[in-house]
Amino acid sequence: MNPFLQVDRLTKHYGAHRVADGISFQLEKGEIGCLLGPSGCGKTTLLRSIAGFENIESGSIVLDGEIVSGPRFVPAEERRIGMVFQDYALFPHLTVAGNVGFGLAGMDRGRRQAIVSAMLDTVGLADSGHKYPYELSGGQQQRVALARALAPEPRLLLMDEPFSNLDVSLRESLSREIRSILKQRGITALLVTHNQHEAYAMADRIGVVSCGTMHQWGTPHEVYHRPATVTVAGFVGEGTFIGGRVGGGTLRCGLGEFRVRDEADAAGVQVLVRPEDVVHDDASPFKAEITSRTFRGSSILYSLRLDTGDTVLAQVPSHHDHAVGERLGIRADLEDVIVFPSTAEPEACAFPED
Amino acid sequence: MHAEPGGPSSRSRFLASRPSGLLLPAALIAGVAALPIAVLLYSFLSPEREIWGHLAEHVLPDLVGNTLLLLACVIPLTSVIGIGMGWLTAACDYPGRKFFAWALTLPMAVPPYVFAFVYLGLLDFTGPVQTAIRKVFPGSGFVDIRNVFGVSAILSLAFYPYVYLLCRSAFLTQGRTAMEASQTLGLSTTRAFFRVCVPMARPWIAAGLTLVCMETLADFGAVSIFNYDTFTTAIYKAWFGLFSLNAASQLSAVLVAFVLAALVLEQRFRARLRFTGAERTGGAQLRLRLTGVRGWLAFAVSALVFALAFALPCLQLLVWAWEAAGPALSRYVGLGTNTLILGLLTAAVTSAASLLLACARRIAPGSDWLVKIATLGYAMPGTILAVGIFIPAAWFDNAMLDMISAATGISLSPFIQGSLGLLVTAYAVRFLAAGFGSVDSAMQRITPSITDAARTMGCRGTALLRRVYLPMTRTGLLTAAILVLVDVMKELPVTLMMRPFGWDTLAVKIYEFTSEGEWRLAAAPALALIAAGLLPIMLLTRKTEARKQS
Repeated sequence: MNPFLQVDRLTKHYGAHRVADGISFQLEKGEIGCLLGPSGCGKTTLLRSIAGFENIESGSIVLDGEIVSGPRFVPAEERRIGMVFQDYALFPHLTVAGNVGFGLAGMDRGRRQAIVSAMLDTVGLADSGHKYPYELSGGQQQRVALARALAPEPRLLLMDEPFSNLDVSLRESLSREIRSILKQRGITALLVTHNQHEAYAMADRIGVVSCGTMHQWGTPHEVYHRPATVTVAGFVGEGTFIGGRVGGGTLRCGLGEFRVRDEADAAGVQVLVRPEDVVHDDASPFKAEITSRTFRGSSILYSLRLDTGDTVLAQVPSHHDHAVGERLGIRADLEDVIVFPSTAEPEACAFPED
Repeated sequence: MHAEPGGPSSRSRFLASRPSGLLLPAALIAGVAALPIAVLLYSFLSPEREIWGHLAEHVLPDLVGNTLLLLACVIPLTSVIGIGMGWLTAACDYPGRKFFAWALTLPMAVPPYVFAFVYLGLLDFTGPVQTAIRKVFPGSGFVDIRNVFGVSAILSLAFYPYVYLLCRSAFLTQGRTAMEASQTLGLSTTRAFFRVCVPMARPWIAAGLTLVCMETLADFGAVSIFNYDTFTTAIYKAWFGLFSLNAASQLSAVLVAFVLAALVLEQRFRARLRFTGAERTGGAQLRLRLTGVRGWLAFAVSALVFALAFALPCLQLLVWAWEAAGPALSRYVGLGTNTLILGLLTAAVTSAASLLLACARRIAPGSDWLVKIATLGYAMPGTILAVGIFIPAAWFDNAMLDMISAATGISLSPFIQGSLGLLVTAYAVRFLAAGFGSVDSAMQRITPSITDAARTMGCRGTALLRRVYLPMTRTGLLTAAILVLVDVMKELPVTLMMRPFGWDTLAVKIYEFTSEGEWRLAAAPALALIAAGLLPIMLLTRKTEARKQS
C-alpha cells in the first residue's frame, strides 16, 4: 500500500535563503507525524507547502494518491486539508458554532448544526456554541480551532505549533486529549513544534528538521535513543559529547570502556552521554568533580568534570545532596553507545526564517 | 514560528497565493488625489509673468506677513492652553479633573467659523458685552476684535485640542516617575515641570503644533469672517472676485509650499513618537494632588478654558437659535437634506476607496507609497483643493466640448465643472485620510492566518470578502463613514467654491448669514453642526476607553 502522505525531495528557497532542501518523508493513514526542530529551521514552510499556501520549487507532495504539489498544484482551498494555526485564527466576528460551521457552507442547515454540535461535543465545548472567541480561554480557543479544522472531515490535519500559546500544565493535558481524539477518529495529522516533549506526547513519527534538511524520520524512541546525526543528538534530550577512541569493537573514553557494534576503528570519536546514563554510585571507584548543580525537585542535575577534562551531566535523585567541588562516585550505564566522528558538528542555520 | 504580519515572508505569502487586481484601482485613486497638487506645482513652476509680477509686488508680501504673524500668535497661545491643560488633567488631581479631561476635547466639534461669528456677535458694538461695558463706563470707545489678536484667539480656542490631546497622552505615558526622580534631585514641582516633563513631551508637543499650523494655514472661514487676509481668503477672492483662475492657482501654489513644509515637519515628528512606552494609567495615587487653593485654582483655569472654548459659545448659540426659531426653521430643512446627501455620498465613496486601498496595501507590495499619495489630501487646505481640482476638470471639459462642437457643430454646457460628482470627488480627496485610517486599522485585525484559515475551508474570492473581510471591517467602515460625513458637514471653502447651483449646505448658509451680520439665523445650523461634530469625539473616547480595558 502506498503511504497516505508522501513528501518527496521537496526543495524551496526564499531568495538566496534555502528553507527546504530535498526533504522526504511518509505518513501512513491514521498516523500522527511531527516535524521537530529549532525556530527557523524551515518546518513551518514545510507545513505551509503541504497545506497549499505556498508552491514548491522541486520535488512533490502526494496526498492519498493524488499529486497536490509538484508536477501539478492544487490550491489550498481544494486540498481538503484542515489546519490549526499557531494563533488559532478564529474568526472574531463569528460565534464558536459559527466558526466550527464555517467550512460547512453549502450544506443544509440541519446537517450543519448536527455536525457542529457533534464536533463541539467531541472537544468538550457543547455548551459554548453561542459564545464568541474572545470569551474563551486559550485552551478553549485551541479546542474550537481543532473542532473547526475537523468539521469538514479533512483528509489530513496540520497543526502549527499548536500548544505554544498555552501554559505548560495545559499543554500536557490538552496534547493527551487531542491525541486521543485524533486516534479515535483515525485522523492522519502532522504537527510542527520546537518542543520535544510535545512531539513525544503527540506523535507516532518524529522528523527532526534543521536548516532545511530532514536529519531523521523515525519513532520517538528511535529519535531519542538512536539519533542519526550530531544535530539530532544535540537537539533531542539533554546530553554532552565526550571524546573517545574506537578500536577492535571497543570504545575507550573518560567514562571507561564499552562494547560498540559495527563501528569502524577510529582514532577520534565523540560519544553522546545523556544525564540518565550517568548513575550515581558511592561505591564506584570512578569519580568526577562537581562543577555546578541545578536542583530540579525530584532530581539534581550535576555537571561533572571527568579526569580527562570532558564534562558530563548526571541526573541524580535529589536526596543525594552533594556540594560543588566534591568528587562524586559515578558509573556509566551506556546500553546503546552513540558515537559520531569527532569532526561532526551540530548545524547552525545562518538565516533564521522567523 | 509565525512571521510577524506585514513582514517580508507574509507579504510573499499573499503574493504567492493571490493575484492582485487591486493595484490598478489603487493607482487610480492615488492619481486623482495627486492631480490637484501636481497641477498647482506645475503652475508654480511655469508662472505667468504678468500675474506673478502683480502678485509678487502687491499681494504676496502682505499675505506672507499676515500668515506668519497669525502663526506667530496661534502657536504660543495653543501651546500654553494645550500643554497646561494636558498636564493638569494627565498628571494632577483636582476637583472636576475627570470631567475636564473629557470636556476639554469638545471644542473639536465646533468649526472655527462658528467660533468666529459667535465671538464677533458677543463682542459686537450692539452685543451684550460691549453694551454692558458702555452702561458701566458711559462714553467708553468700541473695541473691535477684528484684528490679528482676535482671530488668533479664535483659532487657538478651536485648535488647542490637538496640542492638548497629544500632550496629555505624552504626560500619561511619562507617569509620575520622571517628576519624582527630579524631586529627589532637588527640583520643585514647577521647575521639574519645565525642566523635565515638558522637554520629555517635546515630540508630542511638536506633532500637535504642526497640526495646529496646518489647520491655521487651511482655515478659511474664521479669517474670512474677521476680514483678516491670508492665502485662503486671497485665493477665494481671486476666484470669485477677480474671476482669475490663474491668480488663484499661483497663490495656491505658494500656499502648497507652506503646507508641504508643515507636512514634512509633521512626518518627522510623528516618526519620533515611536519611543513611547506603555501607557500607565496609574490610579490617583500616581497623580500630583492639588489640594486647597491650588486645587480650586486648577479647577477655575480648566473651567475658564472650557467655558470660553465650548460652554459659552454653545449657550450663546442656543439663545440666538431660540430667538430666531420661528421664521427660520423651515428654511433649514432643505439645507440639512443637502448637507446630509453630500455627506452620505462622500462617505460611501470614501469608505469604498478606503477599503480598496486597505486591501491593496495588504496584497500588493509596494502599494504603501500609493496609499501615502492617496491620503495626502488631508493636508491640503480646501481652497487649494478646489482650485487644483477645478483646473484639470475645466481643461477636460473644454477639450471635450471643442471636440464635440468640431465634430457635430452642437455646443453643449460643461459636463464636469459645477457638477455634484466633482464636488464629491473634491471632498473624497480631502477626507480620504480620515476614512482610510479607521478602515486600515480594522484591516490590521485580519491576520494572515485568518485568511489562510478561511482558505483551508474552501473560502476564497468574493466569498472571502463577504464572509470574512467585510464583517471584520464593518465597524471600521462605519467609523470611517461617520468621520467623513461629519467632516463634509463642517466643510466650508470647498463647498463654497465648487457647489452646483442650489446645493447650499448648512456650513455655506452659516457663512452667508454671518457675512450679513445675521448671527441669530446662523445659530441653529451651527448648533446642528456642533451636535454632529460630537459624534466622532464620542467614537474617539470610546475607542481609547476600550483600548485601556484590553
